[in-house]
Amino acid sequence: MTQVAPAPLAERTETVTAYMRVAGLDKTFGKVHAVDDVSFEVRPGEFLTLLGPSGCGKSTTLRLIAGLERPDAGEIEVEGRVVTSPRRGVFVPPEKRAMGMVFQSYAVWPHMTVFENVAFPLRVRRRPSGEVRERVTEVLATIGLAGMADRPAPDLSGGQQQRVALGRALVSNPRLLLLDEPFSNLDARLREGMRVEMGQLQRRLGLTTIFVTHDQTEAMMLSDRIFVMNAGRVEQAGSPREVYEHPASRFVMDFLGRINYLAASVGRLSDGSLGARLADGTDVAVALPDGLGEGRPVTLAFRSADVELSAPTEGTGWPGVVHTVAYMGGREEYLLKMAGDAEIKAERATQNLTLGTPVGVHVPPHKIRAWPD
Amino acid sequence: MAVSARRRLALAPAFTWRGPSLGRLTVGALALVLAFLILSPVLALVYGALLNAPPGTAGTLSLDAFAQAWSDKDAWTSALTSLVLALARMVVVIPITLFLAWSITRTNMPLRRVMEALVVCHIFLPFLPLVMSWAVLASPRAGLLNVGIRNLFGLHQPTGPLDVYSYGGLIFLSALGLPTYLYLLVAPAFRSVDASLEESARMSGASPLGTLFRVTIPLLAPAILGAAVLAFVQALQSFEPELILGTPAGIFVFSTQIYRYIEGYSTPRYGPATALSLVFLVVTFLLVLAQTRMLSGRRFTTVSGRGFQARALDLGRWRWLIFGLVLLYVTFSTLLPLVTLALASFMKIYGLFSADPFTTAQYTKLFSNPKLIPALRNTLYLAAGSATLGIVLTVFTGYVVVRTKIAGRGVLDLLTWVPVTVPGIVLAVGLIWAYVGLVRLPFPVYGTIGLLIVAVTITTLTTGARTMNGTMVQISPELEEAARMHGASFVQTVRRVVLPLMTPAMMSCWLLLFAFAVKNFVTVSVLYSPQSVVVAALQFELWSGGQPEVAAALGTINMLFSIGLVLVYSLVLRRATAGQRA
Repeated sequence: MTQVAPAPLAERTETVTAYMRVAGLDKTFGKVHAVDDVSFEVRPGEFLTLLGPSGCGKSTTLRLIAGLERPDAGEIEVEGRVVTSPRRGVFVPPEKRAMGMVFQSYAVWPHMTVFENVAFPLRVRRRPSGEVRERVTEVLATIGLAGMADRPAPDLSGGQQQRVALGRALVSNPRLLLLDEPFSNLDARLREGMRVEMGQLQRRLGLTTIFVTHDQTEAMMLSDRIFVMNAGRVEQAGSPREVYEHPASRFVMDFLGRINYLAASVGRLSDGSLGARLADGTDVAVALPDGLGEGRPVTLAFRSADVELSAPTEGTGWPGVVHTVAYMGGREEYLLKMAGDAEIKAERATQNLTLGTPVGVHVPPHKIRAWPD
Repeated sequence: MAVSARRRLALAPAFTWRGPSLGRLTVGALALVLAFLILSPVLALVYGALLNAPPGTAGTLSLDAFAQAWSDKDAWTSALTSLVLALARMVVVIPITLFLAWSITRTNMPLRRVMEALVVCHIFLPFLPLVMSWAVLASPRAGLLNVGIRNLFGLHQPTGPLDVYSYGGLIFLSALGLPTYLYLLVAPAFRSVDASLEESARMSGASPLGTLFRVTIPLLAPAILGAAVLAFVQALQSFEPELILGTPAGIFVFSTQIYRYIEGYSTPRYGPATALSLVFLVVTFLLVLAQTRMLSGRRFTTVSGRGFQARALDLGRWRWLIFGLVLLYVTFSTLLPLVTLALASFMKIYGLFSADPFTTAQYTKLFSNPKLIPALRNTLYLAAGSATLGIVLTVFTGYVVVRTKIAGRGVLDLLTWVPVTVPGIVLAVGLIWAYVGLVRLPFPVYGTIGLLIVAVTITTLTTGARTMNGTMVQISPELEEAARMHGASFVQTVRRVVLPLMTPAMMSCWLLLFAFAVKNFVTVSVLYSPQSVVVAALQFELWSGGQPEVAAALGTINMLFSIGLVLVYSLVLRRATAGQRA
């Protein structure tokens, strides 16, 4: 296994105290254990992402932090102040938490104009109207809606509604910004632009942000750290590079890319070390999890993007034949038929291989993970 | 994102195979039938008001009728009473409705489903038996509640403290009945509010109460405003409580005054009855018009496909208090009257607890009443006939209005709105003028069950059309387009795709219209004859003929039957929703 440089943020942990702390958070809806003993710390100015499939508990975790949901157990602490603790009978209502939140549906109030929507957090806090006008104008400029202050909210496009929602979340200088799948209702082109903008804005304002998404690309682009969640638990926490390159579980690996799986068993390789042996007898030199004896069944997993193809004349690699080709524009996806009926997906920059072409398949051993069955 | 559900088929779907003219002909014919049904009583009313003779006799044009009504103090008093009562009722009913809608749709109050069913089932219950039960509960001398209160507080007065034969009693009764009707109008709006609209207010620093007043209520303002006007219109049209409870107390409103002109004199006074009807009609028409004007363009799209959340507000320890209040409402509006009426039907003297008060003799008397069997049979004909006719007409108009681009479909839609503006008693007077005074048919019409069916069908059209249009909108045009693309003709598409998809809605709507026909007395009150007597009419005859105990026996049977309808209705609905999920 190649050594990965430690994530820069991991060093900061020791020097800077946590901005927010979540400990032992637990929430059950009926029979569904939505959040199962979740604990983590958030550093000041960090962009933290809760990533996972729908129903993994990421949104519930966010709503628990917001105070829109009460946990069954656990504690939430912001800047050293406990805001939620059923054990101690503490529950600060959402309006007293001074957090900003962008909802998946934007939740822009249709009976108000753009200005009124953004001004709302200041008005409920009874700020003088001069200050409200000044601050809202400033925020509208920041989010690119200057000059649209008097538009009725229902007249806005999806992207504009989202800007309003963001402006509303930022206007009262919140201590923490919560984003609940804010991009999922936008079309692809708009989504990309908003991602970049949101990332730049967050960094410029230095705002501690917790972001919930099921989109791994978004998570990779924006996050300082990613928490991959599954079935109410955090499966892995780390920098985008860490979770992508060193997935801690089969679930995390599967969630973060297109994966090939091959059935194999532990076997003694020609050099005498332990490795994996495929059904057709091919030996694969791969790092194994500790404590697996010879003959134990394992599944080998590797990303289709890590599959390298060479012409078979070079005499290297595992022989296969191109079975289907999908042209993706600048990139191609091949389905390869291997000896012994195995299939392998490969994603490459266009190599112009045609159907039926014999190829040699090579996967760098350190890109292959072996999971015990 | 708000996607318009009202996509219309691009091709005038139907009729391309025989040229577009058949489509227009069909729609034209349909429009004519509807227009005749709906507009003939209205126009006949105008005609009758300008005639100085009763329906069916020769007369000349004059303003006599208006002069008579104008100079009659009773007419003035009733008009004023109507307006004041309606205003008072609106003020009482709106907060109750909002409270019910809010607690059932937006909170985590316990047993919300059950409470909703109990609130909604009231709309199926017949008017007269409900009113009669309150005569037992709160009549000044022997009313059960009065006796109870007097004993509890050791009051030594012979009457009171409650008196249902009063303005207060009438307002109280509407406070128990009208909210159901309005609930059905307001609840969908309450439900459609995306909870994240409220949550984002909380995250922005607003308190729960602040959120209610700054976000929830303004969002619902159009729906609430619309409901308020309709509450006023409904209250203005109220008839049965005034007839049973208002008349003995000398309280007359528009509807009972018109009834009194026709039934309360040795010869019917059609002149002032018609003039007053016309005034009444204009008032309600203007109100409904104002309501639609107010609402046009103010309907907020509370949309959002993905991420829509209908989360319940956590009431905390208040939930049982809220539950108690809703339960109290349901008890007074439905449970208590039902039990009381059943009790009274087994008493020797209506509502009087003597030494040995109970008997089954009232049922014996009822079953030996020669009018009972005709009344039951006529009620079945009336209810089944008007519900079926109503469904057929509104399915047709619904399809044309929602799905086609045929010119003139807007007129059809508009026509289906007219009946809601015509009070039941006014419709009845109009029908008398139409079928006795104007249209000469070769066979007698007045007093027949056929005329009753026509009358009640007209009253059902607005409800039927709303339901059918709503259902039609829900069925994606693509389902029809797919059938056409796969080789089905228009007729086959309707038969194999559209109608099967609409069947559950049609069935539940049919049951609702059936129940409306059974519970209605106002529309048939001046139209029925001995040969076309219906259950509601027989109840009233027994009641006013000095046999309230027998009326209660019939009322109890009627109530139980209506509750049976409710159960079938909810079963059909459950089937329908289960089918949608599958």
